[in-house]
Amino acid sequence: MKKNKLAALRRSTGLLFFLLFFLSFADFSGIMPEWLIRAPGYLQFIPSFLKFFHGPSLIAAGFLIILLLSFLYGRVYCSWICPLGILQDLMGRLKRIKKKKTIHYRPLPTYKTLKYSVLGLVILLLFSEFIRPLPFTDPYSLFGRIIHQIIFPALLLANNYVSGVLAGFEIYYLKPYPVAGFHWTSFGFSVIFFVLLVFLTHTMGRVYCTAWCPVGTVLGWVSRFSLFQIHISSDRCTTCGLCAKTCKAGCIDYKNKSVDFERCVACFNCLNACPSGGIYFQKKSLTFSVIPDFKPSRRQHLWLITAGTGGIIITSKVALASELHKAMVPSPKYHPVFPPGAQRLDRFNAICTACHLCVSACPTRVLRPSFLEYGLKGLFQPMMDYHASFCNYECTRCGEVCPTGAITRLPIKQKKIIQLGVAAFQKLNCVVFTEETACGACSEHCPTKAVHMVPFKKGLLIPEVNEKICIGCGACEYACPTLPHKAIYVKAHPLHLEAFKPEEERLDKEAIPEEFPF
Amino acid sequence: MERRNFIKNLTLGALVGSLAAKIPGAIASPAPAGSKPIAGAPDLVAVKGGEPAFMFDKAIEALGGLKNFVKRGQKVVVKPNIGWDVPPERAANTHPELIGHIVKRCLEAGAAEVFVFDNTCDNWLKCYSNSGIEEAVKKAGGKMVPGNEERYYKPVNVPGRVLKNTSVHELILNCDVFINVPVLKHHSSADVSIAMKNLMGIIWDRRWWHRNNLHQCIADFAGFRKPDLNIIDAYRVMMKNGPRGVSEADVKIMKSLIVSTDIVAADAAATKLLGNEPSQIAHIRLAHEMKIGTMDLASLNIQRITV
Repeated sequence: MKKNKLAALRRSTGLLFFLLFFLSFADFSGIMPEWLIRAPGYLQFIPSFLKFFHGPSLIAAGFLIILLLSFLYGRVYCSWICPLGILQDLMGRLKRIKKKKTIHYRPLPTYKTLKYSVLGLVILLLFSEFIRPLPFTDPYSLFGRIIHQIIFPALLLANNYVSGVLAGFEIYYLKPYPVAGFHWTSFGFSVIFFVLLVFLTHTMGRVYCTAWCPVGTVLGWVSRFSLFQIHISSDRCTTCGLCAKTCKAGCIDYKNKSVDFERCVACFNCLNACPSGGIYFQKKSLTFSVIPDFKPSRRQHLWLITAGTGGIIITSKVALASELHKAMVPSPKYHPVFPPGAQRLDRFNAICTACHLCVSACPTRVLRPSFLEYGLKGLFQPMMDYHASFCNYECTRCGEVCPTGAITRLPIKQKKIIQLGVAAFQKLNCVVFTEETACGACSEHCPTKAVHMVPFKKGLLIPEVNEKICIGCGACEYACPTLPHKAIYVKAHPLHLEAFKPEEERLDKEAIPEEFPF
Repeated sequence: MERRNFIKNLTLGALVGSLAAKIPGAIASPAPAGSKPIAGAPDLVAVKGGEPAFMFDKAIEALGGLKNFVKRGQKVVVKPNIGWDVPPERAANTHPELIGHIVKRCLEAGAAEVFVFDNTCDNWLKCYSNSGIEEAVKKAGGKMVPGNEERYYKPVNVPGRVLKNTSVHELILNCDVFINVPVLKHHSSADVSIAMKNLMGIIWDRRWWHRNNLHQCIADFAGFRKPDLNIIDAYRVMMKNGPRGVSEADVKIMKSLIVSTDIVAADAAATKLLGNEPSQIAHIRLAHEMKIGTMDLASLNIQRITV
């Protein structure tokens, strides 16, 4: 029998996508070029969807391609492109290698109520001010956090350890990279989720994708109408059940010779499992019309999805319109400084799925995962930690890699005048005031000299802030040596503003001394 | 079982090894301080009007050649200022051409190895590359060494008034020759940033100094391990907004170079170039009082060269 090449093609495509995503999230050295991080992210369903609805353009239309693919061939996304799906397949493969035998999967229930409830809840919560559902449900972000929280630090620490051992022999070839602080909440969540995923994969195959994942549910629903589907031939099928044993999604009911294509993750393993060629992937015949087996429950689902999608479109349009007219009263409530290019706190909280790609990519490690700093609605989203580091003046890396557009891409010129907040000076904490000795660490680090030194007493100089040219990069806060509290800190804006450019008073360039002054 | 045991032993070994490395051993003692003055050579050489590499050669020639400082087979550390992620035109870091040239000359003089590092303020990888120094050093055959990890820094005792102990980069403690190559610039904390201030890039905890009388700490540490040579790059000089600077508008082109084995004298002369009085700069005055060197330029044999 001729072998079907689809499964092999799926494996190589999936592996390629997986490697790209893995490297993007695990790269602690910043060696991955921007385009190589962005390109595969284009096809990520939820990030692309969010990007599109906050600024429709072809550059953000990757999710439409996924929808089209699903309409043609079913949930190709789930086994070919989705990193979380491919991760589960790899775990299954690992189990197979370990056990040294083929794993037999069992048919699974449809979990219709569960998956449509999850999807409904996600859609409803998408616009809630209370909690955002995407950090818990977007497969791309869940995958990203697993790699960022578990693999990234492991690789980084191993690199730095080896680098340190080599340095003992005065070999400095391997560079040590900055290590970020440990944030147990983000780490804990990802570890628990990962363990859960390992357990589910080992016991029930791709059940996460067929019973929980909202992207899977949406694409599955589209797949009902796919032009190409998997069918079981009533003539050739011998009801041996071999196909069902290879089905990770557990969607083949071989006894009734039917495939629930809505749950099929398009791995195409079944095509090669059949000894009699009784299962095949081909264009749907006209007899497979949708209308005849239309059931009330389906209609309900249809309604739910349509209304949900419509809701998203309308609400995002309304949100977009109201963005321009909402009175921007600065919040008296403390919230963290959020990255340059994120524009507004509520906009950022709404679009960011907490995938942590920017946290991985940030060269100074000033970006770290938050916990409750933004409130529940910003759980795990990145924030600027000015006690750990500060934002590099010349860097726009976070906006370059962000797949959802939560952090927009800024030209470097513009980034240098985006005001994330302003420095506030606490004189009572300052060394110059308390010790009456010289210090100006804050002003040293200030890239615009918004923090500058003015005469104090006894010939000493003390910091002063020019808020107009302050960009809130946090260099002053980071550098301030006082303990336990800093004498200068950045007060975050809820809406990023534009700072003035520092004034330049040009000196005579060429000034070779006529005679040495000594 | 054998494999498991092997892994067990390996892990245990690695653990013990890494713990052992953590135990602070005997506190490192300061290496021999500074080179002895060469008979007949000037105390300080000031050169102006040329390119950095050429001015360096002239100055070293006046001091009797680099062979007086670097011997065959010696391990040399060249310490520029690479504190900031800015290009050379901004004059926040030492001129890359000068550093590359010094590395080259040291290797020609027979140095076994030449190491270059700084404990930078901005992200070290960006500083090393954007300053142009990494490229220049590698081209010249030197080795760029990271200075951003605490484990490179070993605890030492310092014979100071305020500063009694600190942690110093192991290469400084292990090298035969230490060449200090700061860039001359204005500084918001220390008034000026020259040779003594540049030594803040070979220690780990700068914040402690900032909290505990910065000027005194700088003067105290200048006596710990005097550089064998201080070469002050005053080719481009940041006159204001130091030490980072805001733009090229802060920079004057002076095309000058000051070389001395006396770190205080070198700082005093460079301070004058910046238009300040050495006695007005607290750390220079303190170091003079502590007899680490002299800021009394009139008492010195200064050779002035115009090229």
